[in-house]
Amino acid sequence: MSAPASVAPRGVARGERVGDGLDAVMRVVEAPMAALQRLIGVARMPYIFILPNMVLFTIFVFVPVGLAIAYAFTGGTNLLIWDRPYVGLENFKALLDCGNYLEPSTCRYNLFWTAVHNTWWYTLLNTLGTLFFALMTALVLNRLTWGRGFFRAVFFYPVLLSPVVVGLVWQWFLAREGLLNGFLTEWFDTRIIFLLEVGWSRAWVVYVSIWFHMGFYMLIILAGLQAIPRDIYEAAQIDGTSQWRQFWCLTLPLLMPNLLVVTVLLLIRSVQVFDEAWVLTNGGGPGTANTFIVQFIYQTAFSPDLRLYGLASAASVLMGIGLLILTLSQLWLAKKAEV
Amino acid sequence: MTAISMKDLRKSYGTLEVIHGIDIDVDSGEFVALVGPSGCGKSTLLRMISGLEPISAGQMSFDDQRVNDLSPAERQIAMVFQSYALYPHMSVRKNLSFGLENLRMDRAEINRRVEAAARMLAIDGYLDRRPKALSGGQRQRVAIGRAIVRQPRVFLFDEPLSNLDAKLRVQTRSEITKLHKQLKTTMIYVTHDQVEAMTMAQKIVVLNKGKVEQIGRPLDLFERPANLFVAGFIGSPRMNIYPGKVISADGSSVTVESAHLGRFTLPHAIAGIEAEGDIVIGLRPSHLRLGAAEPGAGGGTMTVEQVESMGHETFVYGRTSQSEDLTIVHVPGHFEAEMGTSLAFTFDPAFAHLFSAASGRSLKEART
Repeated sequence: MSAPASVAPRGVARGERVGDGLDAVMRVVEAPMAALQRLIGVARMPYIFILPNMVLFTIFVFVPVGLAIAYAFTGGTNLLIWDRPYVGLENFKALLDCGNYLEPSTCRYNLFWTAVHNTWWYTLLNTLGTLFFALMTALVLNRLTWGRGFFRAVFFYPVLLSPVVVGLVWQWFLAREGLLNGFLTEWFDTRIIFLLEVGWSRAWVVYVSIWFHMGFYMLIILAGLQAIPRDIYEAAQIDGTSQWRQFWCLTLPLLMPNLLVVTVLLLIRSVQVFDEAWVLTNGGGPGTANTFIVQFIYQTAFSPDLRLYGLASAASVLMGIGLLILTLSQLWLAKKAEV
Repeated sequence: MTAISMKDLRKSYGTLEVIHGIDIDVDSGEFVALVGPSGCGKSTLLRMISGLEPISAGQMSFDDQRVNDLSPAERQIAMVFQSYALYPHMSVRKNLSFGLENLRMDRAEINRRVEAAARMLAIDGYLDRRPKALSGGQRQRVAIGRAIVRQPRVFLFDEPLSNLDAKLRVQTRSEITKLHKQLKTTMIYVTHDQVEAMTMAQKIVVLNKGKVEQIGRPLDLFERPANLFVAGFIGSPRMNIYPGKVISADGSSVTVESAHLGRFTLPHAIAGIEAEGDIVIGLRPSHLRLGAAEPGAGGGTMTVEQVESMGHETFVYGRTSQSEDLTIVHVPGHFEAEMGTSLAFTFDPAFAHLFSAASGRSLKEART
């Protein structure tokens, strides 16, 4: 049964296949777009095409960033910005009020500085660990002659999981009565309360994070490895280059652009760590051993007894500045290395 | 200088054999070209010589030393790749010295060799540039330079000119030939371009489907192709091929007839040829002349389909009645003809090549 003529867009004949829909849409938008082009000129047309995306980006990125910056200069517990008093740099001063930055207990907001310290160590270990394991895995997969696709999928699979699921699964695995302790009890007649001991819990947070995200970074590195022409290695082989020297003098330098992207992404992601660590450690425990900056921001803003939106926003702005400095220095280093 | 000997060399990937028992001897200091169509196994063979590709069976020797199981570095060869395979993140100087550093050579000696090679190849002005800042021709020279500094026993070239433009290709061709004369090192050069092979090599190996079709001096291959494949592959444009029949043969001549060329008599004997036997007649475009056939000479008529004039020479492409393939006639100088015009052509029967219709082997070669 053919669709009623009134349903078909203007210019589409009755009985025309639905597969020609794109043509029909093109015919409908052609006239107004042509008129617009005549009005503003061809050179400005690209801006029209990116406008829909820019509108969404503005609503969901620029406006919240702007609001966070604005909130950072306000005080009180009211949610609506026009109900909040302007306090200038007060929130920043409060956060940065410290006797010794290396000793969180000397700071006015010691939880913030504890979170900064925790985030710093987590970022360092997570970045180095993920980079190392992703690189090693990619190097091994790159040498496989068969099953590369299968193993690539195996390593990538955790990336597809929800952070909450990852946190919960590992919590069950590591719990007092969890799978791992089951094995330890069975074989060694011992039990470790992994998530309640500071050292163990921190190590597991980093390990789970590496396990969770490594596949994604491995894929970027693997793509980089596969883009290195094979004949360069053959030329090196003819030159009598050892495997080790091939890695240091060819693979690593040629992989540097990919490694740089991976490092920047890892740094940003590590500083933003929250969800899987929050679920795994039941809210940053034991004590504040796994409390990170984003968790501090979240708790400061949304705990029913705090609701310090201004302070949380100021912490967000400081974190944003930190990330910006990290990223810019990475890019500067990369540019310097290229010349 | 190193002589290379290949005996019953084979290469298989699983059950698929791609090189089927090749025997080639390369004399010390010789320039040998491996030619053949795409997929004939010439690059695979070169990689087997280099050590990049393991040898499945047979023996490869460098100066009587079996090298089958030696690594590329142990074979002391140098290879110039089609894509140049320069290290993109290293300067030209580093590209040239990298292989020497692997040998833990004295720095002063490395510098001396790098600078000597750079001077020889006129790249001494670019030593601190990276490959991406060089033109295709300059990159090619760096690749050759990287080979030279190692002072290898054998140079291997894998279609090194195919990424260059026509003018640069001609220039680099003569530079490589000059280099060979200067270094007197054994060189093996893979190309699908028969002009390169004919102009550069002292010996050509024609490969087809993983087998050697013929080995010989360039002119031998052109004048005495061993079979229809070599006859069709060597020479540009290709040889004209026509089916025919032997009418009579005696101790001093052979009379042949073809629906395309009429009846003509070759003024020499061919051993073992049988009257009434089916044959294939091959004629080079340069051996055909436009004009009516004189008595005793062969000739035919073709309908012109295409004329390619280069100014100093013209190729006329036409079709004889019933023929599937085009007949190509080489005309010196500029020549014009309307499409569809009927043109008579003739040839001296002494230049006709006869091949067995059954085996494709040259019948002339059977003459003793």
